[in-house]
Amino acid sequence: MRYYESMIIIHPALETNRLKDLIVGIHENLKRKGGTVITTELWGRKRLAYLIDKQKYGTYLLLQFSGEKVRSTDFNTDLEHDADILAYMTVKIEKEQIREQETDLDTQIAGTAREEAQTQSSESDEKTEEKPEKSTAAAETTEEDTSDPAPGTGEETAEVPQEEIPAAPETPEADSGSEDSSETPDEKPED
Amino acid sequence: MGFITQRKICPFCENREMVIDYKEYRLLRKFLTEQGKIIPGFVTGVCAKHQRRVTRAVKRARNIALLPYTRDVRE
Repeated sequence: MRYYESMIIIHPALETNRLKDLIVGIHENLKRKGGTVITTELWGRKRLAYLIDKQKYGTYLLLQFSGEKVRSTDFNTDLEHDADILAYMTVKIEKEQIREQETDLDTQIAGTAREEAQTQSSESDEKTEEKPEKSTAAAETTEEDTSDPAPGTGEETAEVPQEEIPAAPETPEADSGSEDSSETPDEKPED
Repeated sequence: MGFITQRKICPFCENREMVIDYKEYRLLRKFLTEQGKIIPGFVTGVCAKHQRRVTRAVKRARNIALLPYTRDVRE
């Protein structure tokens, strides 16, 4: 028994009903080819790393299946000819990599539909939200600057270095991986 | 004196629970440059065995648009 995994990117504009039909169609197609579907995971609408068919977003679907003699080339050609599928990739996996089906397909589709509605609304909000965040961050810094001169000129010089000192050692601790690479060039001039 | 370099430990050898998979594209981003190139193992400290797996995972993730092939840094 061999185990396979297909990652399929579906057109983002598909409605929930058509999406379900498409997924069920893929399942049936797979059964006809001699495979048995183990898990289907709908990742939902995600931003693509690059444009595919002029699309910025895509609905990701993960399909894990097994089969003795799955005609994967036939299965792949069927996916290729489907206009609603932007891209796909079938990979052989080990038995340990198989995930358990946690939720039904219907609930997953309903969940992603809800998420999409939220993301679409939040995307429009983000544009407006981002600006206030930056302005508040900028406001915090300006507040510190403005608050310091108020008590007196002598105090502000003493306060500012105290705040800066604890912040400096924190950064090397956080990224230990990149720290090593940055250290090596420093050591050479010392020698 | 001579070179006193701290020997880097492979993060995947250190932590056996870390899985190298193309689906874990957020983890794989650590091993890419800003442009999207794969960083060589001697820089990141990944051992040869795991570097081969990272490379394969990154290439798979690129194929399915989870990671970019290239990225314009100027943007």
